[in-house]
Amino acid sequence: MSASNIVVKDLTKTFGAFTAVNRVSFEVPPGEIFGFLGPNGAGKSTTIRMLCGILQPTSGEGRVGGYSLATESEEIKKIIGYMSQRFTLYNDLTVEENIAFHGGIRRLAPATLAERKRWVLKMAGLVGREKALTRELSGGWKQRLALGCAILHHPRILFLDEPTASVDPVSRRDFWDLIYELAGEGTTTFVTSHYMDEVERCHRIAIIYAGAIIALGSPRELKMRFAGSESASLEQVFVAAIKGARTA
Amino acid sequence: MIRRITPIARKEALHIRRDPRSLFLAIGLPMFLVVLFGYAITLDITHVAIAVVDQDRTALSREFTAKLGASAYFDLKLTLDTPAGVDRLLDEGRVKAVVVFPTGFARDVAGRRDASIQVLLDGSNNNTALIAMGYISRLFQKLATDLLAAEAGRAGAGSAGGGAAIAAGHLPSVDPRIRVWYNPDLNSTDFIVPGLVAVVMMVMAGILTSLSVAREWETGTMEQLIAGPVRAHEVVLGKLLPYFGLGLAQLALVVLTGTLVFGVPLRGNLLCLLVASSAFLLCGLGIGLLLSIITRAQQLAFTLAILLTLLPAFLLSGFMTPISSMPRLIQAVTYVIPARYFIAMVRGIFLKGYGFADVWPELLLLAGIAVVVLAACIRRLRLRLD
Repeated sequence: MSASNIVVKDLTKTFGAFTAVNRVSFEVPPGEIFGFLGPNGAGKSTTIRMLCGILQPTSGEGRVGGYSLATESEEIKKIIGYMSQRFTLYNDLTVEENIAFHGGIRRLAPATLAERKRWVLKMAGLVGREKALTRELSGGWKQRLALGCAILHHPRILFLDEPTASVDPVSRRDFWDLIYELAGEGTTTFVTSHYMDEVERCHRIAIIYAGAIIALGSPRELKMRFAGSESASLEQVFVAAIKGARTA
Repeated sequence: MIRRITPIARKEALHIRRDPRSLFLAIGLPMFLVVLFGYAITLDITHVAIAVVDQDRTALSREFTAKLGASAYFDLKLTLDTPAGVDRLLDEGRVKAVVVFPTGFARDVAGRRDASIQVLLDGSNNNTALIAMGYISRLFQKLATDLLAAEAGRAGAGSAGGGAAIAAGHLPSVDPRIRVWYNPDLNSTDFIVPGLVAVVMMVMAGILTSLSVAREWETGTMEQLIAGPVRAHEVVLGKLLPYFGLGLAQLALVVLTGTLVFGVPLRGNLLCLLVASSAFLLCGLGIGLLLSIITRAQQLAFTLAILLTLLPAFLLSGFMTPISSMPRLIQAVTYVIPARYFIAMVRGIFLKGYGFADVWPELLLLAGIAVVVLAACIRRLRLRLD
């Protein structure tokens, strides 16, 4: 049991009669970038919210960084960073006020906060715009600021829910470069997406469809298994996997 | 565990500062209410424009006219010899009341016959009319009593009191059924302004907080907040803190304008006022926040806050109308309205010089309500999405 891995077994979430996530099991070892791929409504966000400790699983079990999803969500929240799909920074606060707020919640020491703030501003390309109201920023900048606020406290495990959904293609590439850079520093990263091309560089990918994982492996393994060729695109893998799931 | 309250409080204060709606409710509306209630009611009870028609033209009628003019409650606009044109004065609203001394008034008084005067009132504002009528009748009763007492003194027959009592049947008087029923001391500002502390605080406390948590659910920022290692009490206290500060600023505002501008006496213990206000403020803040936590929807929480905090503070607290004159069922309802206890305390502190020794039962009750409501907030604030 490592301090920065994710272990999930038969994780299930139902909302009334609707099963959003159906007996999902997987493990993410420390330092891995784990891509969670699936169409809208497949259960990506529900899974990530359960892993972040803000949604109670209906059944099944899971541990994040060694802490139980069911009983230790407070401990989990201390060691993770989470960036939700929806933009959830305060629009009526300035860039630096948002950073200060999230640093305050994480109880960063003033010196650490100052240093991290400089880093986030530089990373997000917001140097000189510290006093700008967040609502005035464009999509890419907002997204980078949100990421910055999620990793202010050097989380051991980072959860990113559709981090590039509202970002133009160029910013999207930059954004992923940043994710790989963070992973290179040892942060375990769990990222959801419905863009095939951008999860290409993940260490492993799970494809989730209608609440269940229908494929799990490295991009190469999945290409071999579903398309029979390493040169196939993930798009082909995705289509083949879903077809397989439907006929099964 | 205290340290996370500060960043939450700080960002909540920024929300208030940047939101015109909040600023209006926090500062604009209270100022408006103070001016409205303070001045409107001051105008009602003083400087009522009157005219006198003196057909009698005697020393006595002139003396009475002078007394009317000297009263702070009336502005004697003009004195006429005949009633001609009086209806125009009233029609145009140039005067609210006309006092007519008929020919023979002084003679009747001297002859111990029933002397009468006529009072014409502009009844289009029944409140002003009633109050003016009350003043006029009191003034004349007093003048008549003085007159008779003086006469009795001159005659030297028996006691002055006996003389006045015997002569009472001959007083020049208007209909005795008419009473000044609302503010016998003619000082409604003293009555209203202390209660205004409660109303002003409730406007801010109940309504602004009712929006605060619901807004975070609606905009999605709550998801980010609860993904952090925050605890329910940190969120609740952090959110309340800036509003609490704002409420105390409003207290200062109302107390300062009340005493300095409107001349309301503050006879009681200032610390007691502060403690009572704090307890009341926490009740209001807690109720608003609880609504916000339960509904998670700004519109609904706002509507409920008006129904459950603002309207009761206005209508069921004894702020405008005494609770004892309400129907029995409504009276029973008032027992669960925090403003009821608070207004009773504030009036006591302002006007009767109350301190802790006088208000402790109400104070304990309010503090108890505050603790219960805040505990409910902390219990009901779910740090999960479901």
